[in-house]
Amino acid sequence: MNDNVSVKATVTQTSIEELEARLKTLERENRILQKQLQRSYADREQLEAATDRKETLLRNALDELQASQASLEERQAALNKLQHAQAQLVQTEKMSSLGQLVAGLAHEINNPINFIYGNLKHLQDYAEDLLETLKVYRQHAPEIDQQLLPIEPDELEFIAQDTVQILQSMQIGATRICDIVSSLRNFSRLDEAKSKEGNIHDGIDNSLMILRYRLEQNDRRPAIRVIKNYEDLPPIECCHGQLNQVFMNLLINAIDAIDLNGYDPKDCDPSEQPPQIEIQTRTIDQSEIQISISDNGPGIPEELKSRLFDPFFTTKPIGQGTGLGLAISHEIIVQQHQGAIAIDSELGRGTTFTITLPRYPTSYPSCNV
Amino acid sequence: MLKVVVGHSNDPDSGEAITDVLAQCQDQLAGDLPQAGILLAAVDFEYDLVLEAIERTYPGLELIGGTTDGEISSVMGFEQDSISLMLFCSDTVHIRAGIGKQVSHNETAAANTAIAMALGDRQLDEIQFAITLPESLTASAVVVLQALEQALQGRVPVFGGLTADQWRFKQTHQFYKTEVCTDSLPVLLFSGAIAFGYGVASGWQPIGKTGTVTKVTNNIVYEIDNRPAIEFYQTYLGNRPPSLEYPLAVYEAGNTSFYLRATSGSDRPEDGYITFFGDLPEGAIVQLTEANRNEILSASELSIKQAIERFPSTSTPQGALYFSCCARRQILGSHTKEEYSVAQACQEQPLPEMGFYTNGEISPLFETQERVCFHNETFVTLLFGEAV
Repeated sequence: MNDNVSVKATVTQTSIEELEARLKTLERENRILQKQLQRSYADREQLEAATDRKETLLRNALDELQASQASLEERQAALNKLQHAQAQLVQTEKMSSLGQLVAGLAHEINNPINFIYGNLKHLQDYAEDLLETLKVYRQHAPEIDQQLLPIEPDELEFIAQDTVQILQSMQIGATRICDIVSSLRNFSRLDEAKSKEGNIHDGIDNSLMILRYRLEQNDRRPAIRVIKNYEDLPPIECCHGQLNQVFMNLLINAIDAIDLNGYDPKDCDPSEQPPQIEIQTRTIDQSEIQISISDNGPGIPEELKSRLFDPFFTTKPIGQGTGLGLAISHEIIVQQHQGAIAIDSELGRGTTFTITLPRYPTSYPSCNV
Repeated sequence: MLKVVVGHSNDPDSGEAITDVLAQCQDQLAGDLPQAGILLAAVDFEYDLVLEAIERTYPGLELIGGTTDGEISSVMGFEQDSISLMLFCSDTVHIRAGIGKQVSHNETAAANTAIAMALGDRQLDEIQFAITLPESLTASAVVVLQALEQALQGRVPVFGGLTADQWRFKQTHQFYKTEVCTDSLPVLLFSGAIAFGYGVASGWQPIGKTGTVTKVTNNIVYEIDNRPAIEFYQTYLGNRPPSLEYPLAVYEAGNTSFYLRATSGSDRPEDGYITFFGDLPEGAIVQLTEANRNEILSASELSIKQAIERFPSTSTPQGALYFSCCARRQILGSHTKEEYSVAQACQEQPLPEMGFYTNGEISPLFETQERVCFHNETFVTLLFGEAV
């Protein structure tokens, strides 16, 4: 009996100790959990504050970045504008001087050539009359002493024939000089301050006339063949002086590109295409026309295409290119005439510049380039 | 022989927690008597009670310690609101504690006192390295560490972290044997056959525009670009006060590399100036910095790998101490435990380890051979073992 009581007491005591230990453990776990809960609240608040700070920082940094990017773009745009303005100024000055030089030259040549050209007809008439008179003399006075004549009768026959040919050659030469002078005057168009309706082909032909010496054969290549595929274009309203400048720039570039090929006419492969420039014009519709100038030079590398219209960008050797030709051409076509200028180039095949022009642009700032 | 043991408890009851910690240590010590220790405690414990319990168990223990922003150990990993104790037993390594008080009043006197106490009858040349857990809020850490470096005659590498108070920036505590102190500089000096390797890395990167410090007195910056310093932060943080997780990158004249200076968080925005944990020179170029979790964890890994690489190949690491910036914990949030996991993954074998989240880290700079350097936003690793 007593043993049973003792065992029961021991068991109870053990249970109590176990329960106490369990209780102690539970109390400890409870303390830790409560503390962790408190910590969790504190951490959450800290985390929310940290997130708020991070969001604000990133938003402000992003705003600053955007502002700085916008400012960079603005500066880039201002720089581009400045470069264009500078290019325009340089080109204006250059073209103005060149125009005045050309106009002055044309004027100075015009007067003497008019004396020559205007009197050649009279000279021809006089020569014909004199030769006819001499012929009559010879027929009606054959008894004249041959010793008194300063030339032999055979020579007289030759002189009579050659005089006519010389005068014809002089007539051709004088006509050509008159054409050149006329082209120079038309090209410079200094007298035009406003846009005028006119024929684009005249401007292209004038430019070709001025560049004729560069198209001829030289020691590096044969003559450049110029192929004209002109459609019957309607007249368009434009600043002809400005457009002539564009045609001139594009034609000079085409010739320079062909010259870059280092073509040797002595080693010329007959199967190889000779150097050529093709000029094509067409009417797109009632409101637009298109002019393409193509060369079969070496072509333009892809990575350079995007920079071609940048002011002062040139691939030509120092001293040979200013880097302004295409920039100014772009300015004249796009800004002044509300047209477009595009480039299509393939390495080894050549380059085509295509100009699209409205027949009647909405406005022109000025034709004074 | 060097033996290192660690105990760690997250019981919020101070008595229960230290009992638990001491029991863990006793088990590992297996009868050996420790000569020195480091105690790390969260802010809500009854420190007197804890220190007395330790003293009762190990009378005369050369103990230093301090409050933290989170505790790390090989026993529990990362914890907050916990107590962790590391004890050192050795007959070949000699460790002694010292403390300098009222450091904000006279940092030189405090440093000299602490070093003199910790040296005892040893010569400075015998000291291998020092560990310190100084006050962070009352004095400029850079000035305090300069005083410490002077007291150690620039010969002794110093490791440690500034004591913290769980991001409250009100008051931190330092411990020396049974004393609970504030505004103090506790130091442990290690001499004898002890080898060590260390690493330090950050992960913070500059963001936004730069400014020039135009008016500064030690660690208080009054003006940046001739405008109140607070405006430099407000550009990015709006009206929120400057925060520790966005320290300034400081570029000194002609230098392309930077060091970090974190704000102490103790200023009122209306005052316009900002107090930092370390000094900034006038004329320095500053830039705000920020970090994300991945960059922080990568830097932790780098720090540990540096320490392993620099540890003498003739010896084996027997313990590790980590000092990580509280801003890292703030950004890592619930991922903070991963920082210790990264540390563990780098070790060849499990080591007794302990560390804490600090208000500023202290470690030599390997690149410049400087023995005492103050860092912000870094993870400092100290590996140690008996020298062979």
